[in-house]
Amino acid sequence: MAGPLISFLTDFGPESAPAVCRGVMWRIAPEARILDLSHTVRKFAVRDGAFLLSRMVGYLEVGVHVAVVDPGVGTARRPVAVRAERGDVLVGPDNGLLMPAARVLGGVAAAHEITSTDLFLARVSSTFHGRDIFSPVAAHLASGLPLERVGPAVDPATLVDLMLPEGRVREGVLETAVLLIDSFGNARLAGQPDDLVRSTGGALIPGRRFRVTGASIPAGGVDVPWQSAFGEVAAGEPLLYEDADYGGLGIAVNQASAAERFGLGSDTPLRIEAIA
Amino acid sequence: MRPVITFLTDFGPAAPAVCRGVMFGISPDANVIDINHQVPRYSIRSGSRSLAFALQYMPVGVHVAVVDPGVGTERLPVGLKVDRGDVLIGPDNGLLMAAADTLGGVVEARVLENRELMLPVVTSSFHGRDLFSPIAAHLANGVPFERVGPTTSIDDLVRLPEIRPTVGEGVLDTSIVSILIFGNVTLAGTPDDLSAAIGELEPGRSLVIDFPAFDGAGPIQERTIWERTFGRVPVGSSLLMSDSEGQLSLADNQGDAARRLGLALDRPARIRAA
Repeated sequence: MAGPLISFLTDFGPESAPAVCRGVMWRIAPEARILDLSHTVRKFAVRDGAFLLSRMVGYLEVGVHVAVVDPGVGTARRPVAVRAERGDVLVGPDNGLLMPAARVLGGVAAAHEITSTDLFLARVSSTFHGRDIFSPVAAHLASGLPLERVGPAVDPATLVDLMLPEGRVREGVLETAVLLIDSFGNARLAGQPDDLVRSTGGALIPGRRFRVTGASIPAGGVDVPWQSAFGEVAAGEPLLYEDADYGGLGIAVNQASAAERFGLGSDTPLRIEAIA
Repeated sequence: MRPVITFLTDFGPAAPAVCRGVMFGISPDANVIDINHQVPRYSIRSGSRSLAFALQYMPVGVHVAVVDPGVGTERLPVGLKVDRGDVLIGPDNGLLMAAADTLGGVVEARVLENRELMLPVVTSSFHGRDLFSPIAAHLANGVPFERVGPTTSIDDLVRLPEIRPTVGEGVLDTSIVSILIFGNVTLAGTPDDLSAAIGELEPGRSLVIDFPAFDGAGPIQERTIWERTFGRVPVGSSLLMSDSEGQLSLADNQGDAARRLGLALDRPARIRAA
C-alpha cells in the first residue's frame, strides 16, 4: 500500500530549504510520499500562495498539506493545523494562506493551534518554522497522529481569513482584477468565462473582440480577441483565454509577458467590455 | 525501507537529472533527495556550508556532494563513513568535512578506486555522473563500504580553513560567509561572539555595520538593529539576528539585503554599537 501523501508548497525557492524540510519529514514518516507543489511562490506573497494552493488541492488525494508563505514567522501569528470537511489536514501559519484551500475541500471542520513542542525539532529557531515546526508536525499527522495532539482546538471563526478577488458582472462590462501573474507573465484574472458571457452578452466565439481598460493601460484601452490558445494570435499579440492551469479568465501575450506589456501586478483592477 | 541518497552540486538545473538517472538505474527504489544544485559555481565553501546545514536533518543514508573545480586532476575521490552511520561521497577538497563533523565525525575514509562500481567509461570532466553517482547507488543497495577502495588516513583529508570573527574592543570584525536565497547575508560568528565584543544583545539595540571598500566597491555603512525575527521590524527595514543555524545574519524584512547593499561573498564587515 502506498504511503501517506504530504503535499508541500512554499516561497523558499529552489535551494536547500525545501530539501531540508523533506529530510525532516522523511525521518519521521519514511513511507510518506511528499509531493512538492511549488517552492517558487512569489516571496512573502501570502495571497499568491493561497490562490495556488486552493487551485491544486482539489486534484490531490486526501492527505496532509503543508504550506509556508510566512512573512510573520516568529511573531505572534499562530501556527495552525486545520481539518477540512473532506478529511485533509492543512498545516501552516494562521495568516490566511490555508483558508481558500480549506474552502475548496469543503470548509473548515476543526482547527487546532500547534503548541505541542514534543512534536517539534529539539531546537526551534525564530526564522525557520517550516523546518522546525510545520514539517515535523505534518509528518507526525501523516503517520496517524490524532489532530487533537498538536495543540488546543481554536474556534475556526478566529482563523485569519483571506478572500480572493471575484469578478463583478455589470451591465456590458466585467469588472475584474489580477489574481496572479504566472512565470510566463500571463495574468490570471478574477472571474470565469461565464461571467464574461453574462456581462457582455453572446458566446465566447474565438476571434470575438473585447476592450480591456485599466489604470496602467493607455487611455482608450487595448483591443484583445478571445482565443482558445496562445498560438491563435501572432507572436507579440494579446489574447483573452480560459486558463487551464488555474481555471478562470486569463490575459496573455503570445510568447511574451502580458504583465510587462500592460503593467499588471497582483490586484491590478481591469474592466473588460465587448466591442460591438 | 527505501534507501536514502541525498545529492548536492553546483551543476545548475539540468546535469543533476543525468546523475539521478544513473542512480535510479542501479538503485531503482532509492529515495533521492536533491538538497541544492544552485551552489555558486566552484564555491567549495558555499557548498560545504549548505551541506553541513542540511545533512543533520536528513535520514541516515548515502550523501553525494559535488562541487569539484579540480575534477580530473590528482584530487582524490573519497567515501567517508561517519559516526552516525552515513556515508559521504565526493571529492577530497574540503567539501564534505563540515557536514561529516555534524554527523559525529569521520570514522573511516576510503579512496574511490573500484572500477566495477563506476560507469564503464569514466570521463575526466564529469565524475558526478561517471563515478560518484554509481558508487553512491551501489552503497545504497547495500554494497559493503570496503568494496569502494582502499582506506586512507583521516588526518590527511583536506579541510577548509575555518573563518572566525575577531572580537575586538567594542567591535566584531567578521566577513560574509554566505548569501542565502532571500538575500539574507550570513556573517561569520554567533550572537555569543558579538556580545563578547559589544555587550548584551537586547532586542531593539541599535547597531552599525561597516563594510569597507572591497574588490572595486566603495565602503558601505548600514545602520540596523538587533532583533529576533524579520517581522519585528517594518517591511523593508533591516535587522541583524541569529538565523535558523545560530549564525549572525543581516536581513531585510520582506526584502533582499544583499541586493540592496550590493554585498558579495567574502566581503569583510565590522559590527559595533550605534
